[in-house]
Amino acid sequence: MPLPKPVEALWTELEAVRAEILAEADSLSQAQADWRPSEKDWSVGEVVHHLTIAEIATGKLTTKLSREAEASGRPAGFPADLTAFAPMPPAPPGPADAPAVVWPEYGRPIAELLATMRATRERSRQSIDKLATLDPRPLTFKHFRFGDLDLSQWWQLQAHHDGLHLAQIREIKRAPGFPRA
Amino acid sequence: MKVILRNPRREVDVAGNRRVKDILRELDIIPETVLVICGDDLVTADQVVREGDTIELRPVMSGGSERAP
Repeated sequence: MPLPKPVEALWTELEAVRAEILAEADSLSQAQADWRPSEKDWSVGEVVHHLTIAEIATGKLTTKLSREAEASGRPAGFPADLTAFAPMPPAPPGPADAPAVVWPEYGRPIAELLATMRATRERSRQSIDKLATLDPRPLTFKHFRFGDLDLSQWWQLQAHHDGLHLAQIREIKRAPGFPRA
Repeated sequence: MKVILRNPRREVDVAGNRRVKDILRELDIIPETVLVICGDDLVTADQVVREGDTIELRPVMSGGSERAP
């Protein structure tokens, strides 16, 4: 069954940026994946790990919000008049760091990280299919910087987040000292 | 309960049934910066986690102009 137009557009965006991330990371050796531009910077492997654990959390958020919607007796089905999702609000200024205790783990095998990233995306497709069966607008959860985001905005943030970290991966690979192999 | 943390990966034992926000306060973590997973479920700051449960903290995506995390 085809996805509603805004869901299809969101999925296309998610997949496009993820394909670029995988293209950048797929051929890296373990030494390249573990290399950090400085002690304070992340490696490509850490970025990949970070994106995956963030995506898993968004999937669980989808499950939580959709279960609550079902329990509340809201009518099922994607609204026919919803032709575009509300855009993300602008990012407020200021630091955005998560605490170190949730940062990714260093030195994991890159092949394993990429396999987990791919498997996670396959499961995310189920979340997107769920998104296509409900009205995301009343399904909100507070984000620490943006405030209340509805479920479609959480997935928009996922795509945006991937894009930010894609740029980071490219910077790491361009940095002086990045291993040749 | 066990709280799974990363960087480095470790488990912290917290005694008793506790609200999520109290656990995070004890660990010196701002609640809004993490999502808390208990089993297959995402739990919110006001929910109580039971003695035998295991919870894991995941980063909230930042978006915005800053890059990471």
